[in-house]
Amino acid sequence: MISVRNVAMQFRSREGAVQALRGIDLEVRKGEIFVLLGRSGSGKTTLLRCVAGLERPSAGNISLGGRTVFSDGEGIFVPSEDRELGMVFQSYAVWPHMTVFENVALPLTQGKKKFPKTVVKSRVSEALRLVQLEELGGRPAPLLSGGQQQRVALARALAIKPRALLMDEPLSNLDARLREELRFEIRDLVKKIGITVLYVTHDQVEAMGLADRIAIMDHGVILQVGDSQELYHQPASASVAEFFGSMNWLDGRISEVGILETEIGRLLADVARSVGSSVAIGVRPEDVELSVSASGGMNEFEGQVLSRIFLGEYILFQLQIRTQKITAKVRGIAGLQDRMYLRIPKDKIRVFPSRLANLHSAAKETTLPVN
Amino acid sequence: MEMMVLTRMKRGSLFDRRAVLVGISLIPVAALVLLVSVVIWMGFRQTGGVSASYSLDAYRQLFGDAFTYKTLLNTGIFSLVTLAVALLFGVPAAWLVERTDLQPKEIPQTLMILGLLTPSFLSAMGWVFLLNPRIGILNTLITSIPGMEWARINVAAVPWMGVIQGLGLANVAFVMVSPTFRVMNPAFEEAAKVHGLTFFRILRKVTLRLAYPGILAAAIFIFMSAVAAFDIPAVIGLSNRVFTFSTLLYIQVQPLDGLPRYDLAGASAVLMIGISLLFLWWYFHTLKWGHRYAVITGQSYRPRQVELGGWKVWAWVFLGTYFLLGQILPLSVLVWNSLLLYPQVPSLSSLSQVSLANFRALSIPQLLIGARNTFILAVSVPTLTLLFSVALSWVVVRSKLRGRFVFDIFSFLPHAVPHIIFAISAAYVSIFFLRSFLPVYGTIYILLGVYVLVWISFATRNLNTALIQIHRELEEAAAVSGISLFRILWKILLPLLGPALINTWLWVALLAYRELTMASILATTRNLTLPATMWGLWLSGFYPKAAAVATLAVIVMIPLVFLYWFVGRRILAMERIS
Amino acid sequence: MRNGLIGLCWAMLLVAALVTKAYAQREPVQNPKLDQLIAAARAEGELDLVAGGGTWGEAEGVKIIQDALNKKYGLNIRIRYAAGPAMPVMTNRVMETHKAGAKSDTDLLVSNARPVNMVLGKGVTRSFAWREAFPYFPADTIEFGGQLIRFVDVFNGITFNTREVTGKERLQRLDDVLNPKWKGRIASTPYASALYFLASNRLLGYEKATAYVRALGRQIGGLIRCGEESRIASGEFLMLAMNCGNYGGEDYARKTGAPVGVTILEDAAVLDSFYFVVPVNSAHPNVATLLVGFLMSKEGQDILSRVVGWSSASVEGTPVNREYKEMEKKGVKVVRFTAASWAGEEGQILNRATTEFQKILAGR
Repeated sequence: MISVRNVAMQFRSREGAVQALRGIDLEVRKGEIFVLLGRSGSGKTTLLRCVAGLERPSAGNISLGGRTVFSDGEGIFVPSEDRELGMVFQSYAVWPHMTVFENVALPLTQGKKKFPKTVVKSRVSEALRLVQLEELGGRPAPLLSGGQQQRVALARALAIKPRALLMDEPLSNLDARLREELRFEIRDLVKKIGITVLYVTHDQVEAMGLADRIAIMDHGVILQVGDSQELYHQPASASVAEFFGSMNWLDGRISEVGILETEIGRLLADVARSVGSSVAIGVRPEDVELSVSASGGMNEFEGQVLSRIFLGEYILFQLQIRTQKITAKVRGIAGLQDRMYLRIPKDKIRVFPSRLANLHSAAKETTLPVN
Repeated sequence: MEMMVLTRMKRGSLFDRRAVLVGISLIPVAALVLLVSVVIWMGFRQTGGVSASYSLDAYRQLFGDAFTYKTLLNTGIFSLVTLAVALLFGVPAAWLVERTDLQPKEIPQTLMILGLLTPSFLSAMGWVFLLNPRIGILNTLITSIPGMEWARINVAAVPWMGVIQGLGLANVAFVMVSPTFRVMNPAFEEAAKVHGLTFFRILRKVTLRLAYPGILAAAIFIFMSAVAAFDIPAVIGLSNRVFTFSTLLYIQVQPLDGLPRYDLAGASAVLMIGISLLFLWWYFHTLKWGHRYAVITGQSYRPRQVELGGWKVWAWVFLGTYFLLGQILPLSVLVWNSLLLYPQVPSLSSLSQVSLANFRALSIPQLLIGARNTFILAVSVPTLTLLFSVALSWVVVRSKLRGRFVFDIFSFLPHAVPHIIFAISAAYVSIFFLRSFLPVYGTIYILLGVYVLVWISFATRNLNTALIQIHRELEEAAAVSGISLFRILWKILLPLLGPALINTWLWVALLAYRELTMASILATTRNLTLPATMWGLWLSGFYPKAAAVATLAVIVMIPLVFLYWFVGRRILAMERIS
Repeated sequence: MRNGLIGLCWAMLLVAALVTKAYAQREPVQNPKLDQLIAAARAEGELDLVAGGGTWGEAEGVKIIQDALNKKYGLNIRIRYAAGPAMPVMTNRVMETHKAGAKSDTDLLVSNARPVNMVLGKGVTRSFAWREAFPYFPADTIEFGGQLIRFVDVFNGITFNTREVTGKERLQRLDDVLNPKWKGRIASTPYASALYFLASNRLLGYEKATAYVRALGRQIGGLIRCGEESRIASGEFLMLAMNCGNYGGEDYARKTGAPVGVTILEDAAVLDSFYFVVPVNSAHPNVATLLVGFLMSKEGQDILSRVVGWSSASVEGTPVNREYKEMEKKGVKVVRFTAASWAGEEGQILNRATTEFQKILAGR
């Protein structure tokens, strides 16, 4: 449905050209909710705006449902208003000088396709019903709450029956509770309509809750595309792993085949890397096992408990092992002590190329003001 | 470069409407490029001989003369004081009107434009009668108090001239800063309040910071207005041998003996263009992050106003002081003198001479000729100015056109060039270049054209500020939902710009209504305006008669302005509700 | 028979006399040149006058002149007036429009002596055989072969406030202006009006004049324009030394009753000149020419002096003419400056003095 081929985008800033997008390839399938996830400055919003026609990429091709809307080579650039899209903005962008009804109706009366009055009326009521605002049609936009305004924005985007719906961090201005509520609502709604959605967020939980598929973006490139489980369990890189769920990081070196030397001691792991290379080792907090007594198994370490936070479903431990702090997330535990034993299952250890090098390059690039 | 962008834009869809807006803005920009080029050309052209020759003489003479630097120093001090006084009164007044529950707001808004209803040379004369060291009414009052001799105000001192000019320009500060305050999201202030900032700290740290782009734009505009200000320095300064750059310039282009030195005028104008380019560079530099100040967010909010409570009295005292000093006093002097055959300080004997003789002696049919032209200008000039300015501001603030800052520079430049030089340049252009295919010289159309070009700077300053403050996503939301650019302009931008548009229209209308310098340079019998008539009366020595015409005009204008406010507010209110 | 013949002769003489008298009453018949001019003017039908504010006594003055002209020649000409830039700027404008091949803004240019030199020899001026149409023109008012008409002479002197400067203070000679009593309370013009004439060798000469202007520069409190008589009437300044012509103050006092008077200094009785030029690019040259002719008649001069306070010293019986004679009777030497004074050796001195004196007065 949405096809992005080798799209690059350069911004000119005072420091010179900034590469906001570096050769993005993306395929969003019909009816799919596709989330672009990344930190601010990762290029995700820029990519969305390129699809919307609000930015003009410097190179590449974009097509919507088979129709090319941008092609550098062919010199095609279809402006926003001709792309037949719907979009919801972070700021809601609800027109403050109009009522709810007028907000939703304006694209129908002033847009490319003009509809007769009766159609407009039924379409608007339908859209307002979808977002449960049919009662508020006559209310001036400024008199709505944030959540209501975002619903108006959604209704406005849906009323024109767009070919795809673009959403730019639509929930980030709302409070946590409302965010969760609306998240489910949006998913239900778009699934019911069956519309294709390209959704931008920096919130991993939101992404997981909504997406059929997620693309993780960083520094203008897509690091990995996949569904939540793939990304969580099989991150392709340290960056993805770091971004998608929390992670304990250890620096280490492969001393022998299957043996890692780290700050907390020697770890046994299945590593397919050459001996002697420096690596970054990631362990998810929920994969760390804790016990009050030593079991004598492999990859077991004794640590000092620094803090213990009860969070209902689980308990969050922070332990000190030599110079390193390790977080563990455990469900119920028998007995509590100041010193506990911590075990890392061999198959839960993820080994990536050294993070040090990674961090270094990241630090260099984050100084660039992107987006 | 721009052309390339345009053609590439076009190939995409059937037709890109952005190009139309760029095209509309190119009209005034091209005209301004032409006029400014002519100004520069004037600086090199020696007119002494039969045919013109070209040299750097004017520049040598200008920069080789120590007096130039002395005058520049005067002008600098004068302009800084002007700026300080204008902001001192204008910015708080704007805040009071826009951000507090002060009511009714029509009173300050109307009084602010009172000063615009009379040509400024007449109000300058009013100040002479108020503050002249020998005959000034205020000085006489002050020094009549025993022991107050020291407090005598020497109005001719450069800082005092600045104070007077500042009082006259405070309304410009008011009208230029008002939109910023009007659309400011109260959430910012509320956030500060919640975090325990005191009221004045909020004002300083939040409100004024947020209003900074608007205030800076106004400040640069006012400073350049002061640099080019003519009437106060001419009427008060010249008569005390205190020169500013504009009076020096005036003597060069309007000598009574000998040839006008257009070359020197051109060179001086180039110097002033240079100064304002520096300011503009600074302005752009500071506002690189203009979008950070976006204060109408896409999230709608109810404009909430600060409750003044007990401070209300002091707010009125503050506004009252300004109106008395800045607007009412000079106007009363004008009215007083219109009742006398020759100007006199109020006294028992002069009171006995008060009569309506000046009014009776006015030739109404003659005045109506000028009034008709003035009326046409006062309606068409602001309308055209806004048409061009909306396009220009959109290109500057919204388009991603490379080189759009060139548009902004050229839309500001007419303000940097003293109007008198601009008018001379326009005369040259229309006599030499346009005559064969666009014979506007000597007609009302040349006034129309020049006025529009000159006030584009004022209008674009206002609209830029207003546009920066409207969140880009409000337009983008419309664009993505398939609404074309013109409809976005018409249905979304213009209503949101409403208050700024209504204010700017009125201001440009009044500026056109009272404009004199350009009218007198380009005057012919076919484009006579009302201010030119007053100017003629004043030049022939009949200050009271000129004052009578001005008084009549004020009497006619005040109800019109009230009506305008009334209708304007209605329209705005209707847009809000419907 | 003889008697009859004598009678016939008498009768013929009588008829001849009557006829002559009748003809004498109807000038046009005797003057085909004027007839032609009137016919051409009638065809043109209108006249545009643009001049520095005050030049024509504003709209009211123009109306009076228009009505008188129409009455005199049985015409129905409409004269439109606009206050424009000052005389030199207008003069310059006429040349620029001519250069561009455009019509002049003003059909009749009024200029003072200095800038009018500029238009000479540039093909801008329209010559006319003035005396053929208007035999009453004094010969000396027609300059440069009829290109310029010196239509007005003005005495430059002092304009003063009659309440503040009373008969007790002598105000007859240049040095009287420097009375310490008035220090800082009097004004001069930014253009050093008339003071530059002092530099002429017919008056003080350059050196002495410079010294005088220096002293004056220390004496004055500020600079005002000519035409700002109201600032003298109000008492802001006590006097203007020197003015651009006494007519200004006289006219002002006459029209407003303000306490403003003028005086001619005995050791600087300067007579300056104003000119009419009909530009070749005048849109209505015939009306302009006819108006010049009319205004040079005694009747025209009377109207001018009523409307603006102007008159020519060369036309018998006008105010300036009377004043001129009075001065001569008093033994005061009147020094006249015309367009020609601004050329040649004297012109050089005057031009230099103008630049220099303006600087001194401005305090540069």
